[in-house]
Amino acid sequence: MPTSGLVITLSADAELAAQTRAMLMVRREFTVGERNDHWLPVAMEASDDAGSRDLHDWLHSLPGVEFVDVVYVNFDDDKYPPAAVDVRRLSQSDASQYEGENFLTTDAANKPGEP
Amino acid sequence: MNIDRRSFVKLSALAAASAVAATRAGAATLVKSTAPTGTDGITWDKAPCRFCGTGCHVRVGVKEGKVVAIQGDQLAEVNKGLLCVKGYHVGLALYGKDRLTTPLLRRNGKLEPISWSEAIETIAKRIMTAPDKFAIYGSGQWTIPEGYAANKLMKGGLSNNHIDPNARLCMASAVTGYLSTYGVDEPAGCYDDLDKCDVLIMWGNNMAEMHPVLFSRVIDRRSRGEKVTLIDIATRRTRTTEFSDHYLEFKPQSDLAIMNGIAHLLIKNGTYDAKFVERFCNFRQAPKDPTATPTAPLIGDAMTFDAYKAALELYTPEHVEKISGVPAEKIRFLGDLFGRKDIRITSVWCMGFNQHSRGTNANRLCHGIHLLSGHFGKPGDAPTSLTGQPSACGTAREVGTMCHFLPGGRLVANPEHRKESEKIWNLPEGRISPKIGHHTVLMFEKFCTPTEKGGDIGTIWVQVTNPGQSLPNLHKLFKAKKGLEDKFLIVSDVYETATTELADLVLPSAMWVEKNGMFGNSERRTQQWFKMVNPPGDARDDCWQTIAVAHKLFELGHPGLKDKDGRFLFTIKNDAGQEVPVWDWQHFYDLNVDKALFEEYRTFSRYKHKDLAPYDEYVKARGLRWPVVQQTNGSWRETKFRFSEFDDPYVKKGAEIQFYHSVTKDDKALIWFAPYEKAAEEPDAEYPFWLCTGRVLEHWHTGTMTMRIPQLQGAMPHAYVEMHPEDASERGFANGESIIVKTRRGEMKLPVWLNGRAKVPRGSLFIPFFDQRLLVNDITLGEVDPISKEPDYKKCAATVGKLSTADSLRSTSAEKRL
Repeated sequence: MPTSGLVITLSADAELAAQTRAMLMVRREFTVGERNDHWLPVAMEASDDAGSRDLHDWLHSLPGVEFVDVVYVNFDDDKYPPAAVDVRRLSQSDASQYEGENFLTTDAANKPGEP
Repeated sequence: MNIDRRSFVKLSALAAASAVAATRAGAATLVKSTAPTGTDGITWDKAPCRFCGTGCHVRVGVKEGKVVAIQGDQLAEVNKGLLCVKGYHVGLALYGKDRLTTPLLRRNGKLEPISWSEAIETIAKRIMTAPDKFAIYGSGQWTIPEGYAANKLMKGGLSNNHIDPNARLCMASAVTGYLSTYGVDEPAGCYDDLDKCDVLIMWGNNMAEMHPVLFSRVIDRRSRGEKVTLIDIATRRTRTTEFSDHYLEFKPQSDLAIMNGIAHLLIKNGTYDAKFVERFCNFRQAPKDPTATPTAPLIGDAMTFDAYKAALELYTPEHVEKISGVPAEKIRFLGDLFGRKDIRITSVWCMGFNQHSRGTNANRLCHGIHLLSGHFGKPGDAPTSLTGQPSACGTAREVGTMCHFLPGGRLVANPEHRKESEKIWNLPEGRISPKIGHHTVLMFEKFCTPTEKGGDIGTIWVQVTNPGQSLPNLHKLFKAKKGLEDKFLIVSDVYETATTELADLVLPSAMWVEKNGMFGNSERRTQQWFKMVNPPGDARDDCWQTIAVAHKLFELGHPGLKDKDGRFLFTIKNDAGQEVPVWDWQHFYDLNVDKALFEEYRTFSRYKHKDLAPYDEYVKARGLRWPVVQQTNGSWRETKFRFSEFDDPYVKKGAEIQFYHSVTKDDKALIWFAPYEKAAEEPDAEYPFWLCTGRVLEHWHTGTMTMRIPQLQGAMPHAYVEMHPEDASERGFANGESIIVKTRRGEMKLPVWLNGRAKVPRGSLFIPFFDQRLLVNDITLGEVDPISKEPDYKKCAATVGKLSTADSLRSTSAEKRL
């Protein structure tokens, strides 16, 4: 179960920032710490890597979130380090396998990554 | 209190985040310890991140001999507890499934396991057969002791200067820019400038993705209500543009004209800093005969202020607009900005200037506009290059692993410098060769040329880098090795790579916290860490590999491996004064070899006032910025701002600013005039697009580590070509469709990405180079800067076509793959 420590930079809009904090408080994946000015510390637990990415995407989509910085990652779990990529196998591929849908469905396609 | 492991981990994560949040809000200064300790079996230690040149420090959590957790180090001034997406996955770079674990020798076309003793003997015998045809190709990822050992073996042992680091491909133009401006390499300022500047100009530098932690540091200032203006001057829109107040898009190569335009306006408007220029600057232009001496291109020919002014007259805002595409009013805006005395301006750049067929000149002109305007020498007023590798500065540059350098900024061509180095290394006089070795591109060109046709490099030992993917024009400079039976390629690495595909001998290496190490980051900060876990299988330290080969040469009777008293060149003694056989792996960790090598190396650092402190000072610190000078109370003080009296102890009292390694020996810096010149290859009717290459946020350089980290590989799984939607539409390309991209060096097929993370202008293409399966360097140009010898990866001419028309593309092209 990947666990991260995040620092969320909240919007300068006080109402938006408060809403964001409230939204995080009700989700069981997040443990919310004490807000310090614009910065909100949280611990985030995800079921797996895909879940972790989904949670990051969700965070970035919140209007009250300006920035998400990761400061701590723990991968001390039975599943971690996860099955690493076998680059030799990938090397036998050619570009054609990445056409169309596969390429466009990666989460990198139309949005920025982590700061 | 009893808590379960899961709760404990969660609490640790929250504690770390809380500490960083408090620090950023100014509620706490750097926090000493945040995570709970003691109940989860994790032990923590410090190390700099393995990836880029920013030099973030991480806390590495180890449990049962494995790295299991990573935390940003709140004690580190560089990153103040933050990490980027690569940094917090750095621990996983150790655990790719296909780590190399045993030496492999190619027999009958196949790599087969051999013993370490056979591997070491094979290398030593290759060298003994033809020592002058042997070369080492190293890296800005070498630790400082690793680079120092390789440099000493080559220059002090084999009297052979054919050693060059991959920093030639990324930082060489910054080096020649600094040397020819200040007479000494590396930035005057540091990252503190980012905290103090009113204006940050990013010159062809996608800082938000390539140096995200530094970028966060600037964005944080805005969150605290400070005003800082960001200006992105670039050839494509990136994530950096999204955060910038101004975006100035210029045509490739025309940054030279823009900077001349700024200088033109400073003089025309009378807003240059006449007092600063008169006291601290001379003017220079390219020498009439650049071949007169090895250093002639760096010294140049003197020119008067009036001649400089006259040379700039051509660069009116309107003329610059014509060349660059940047509107004249924006050029005036920049000119006005530099003319203001009430603000502080920091310029940063990286590959946008350096990987440029006029990279040295781009660097010089940027320093020039800062000097001319007086935006220099105060916190927040600085021209500062950023680096891409963790020790491009610390090892490749400071240790002097380039083919013309000796450690500490000394030159092989200078008899005095050779003499001083021979003294430190206790060598007989005349041991070090005065002949400059082959720079990277020439080294590989010679290696890939048949011996009978002048290919005078027979064996290359590649350490900690991947030239089979990162060199330009790979067909000519790397793949042409295939079939040359007398050529021998040795590769020390942690994974199979594009380079090991052609290797004759592969050596499995330890990486990062599997060994002791020291790096030097972009801001002159030297960093240290200790070994924390064992490498897998029979992988061993690169430094040991070098010393083991050196000792085998000593045993075989190579005279260069003896010092002038007949002792082994790498004699290392313990506290009792007894020699420790560190060439024998069983004894390599009997003492700290890094410390022994570093203490010897740091004697070189005083020559150019790059003073390094004793090793033990770095054990205590999260890095120290040189010159690190001992105080009267015995403590060691780092220097943040070089050449400025208020901070640099080497500046004379009352001098205010002193360029004490001045090229002109008068304590003055040089302001160069360099004209705009066309790129080596520009778009034409047959190849109508500009092709630019570069990096992405998730992957580090050639992706050998980050492509093995599932989270990063999943986030950015393969390379692509960015294209403007209208260019794509005219050709009937759909988003994601695989197309052909072709240059005069070859062609490749890869998916097109429209309106993605970055946006290229019409007539431009961008392809990242991280993907081993889609090697953009098969088709890049490889034209080098005439002074730095750094290749231009940012500009060549290309065309595109549908896959179905590939055959017709081939038949109509005048050029075939080289």
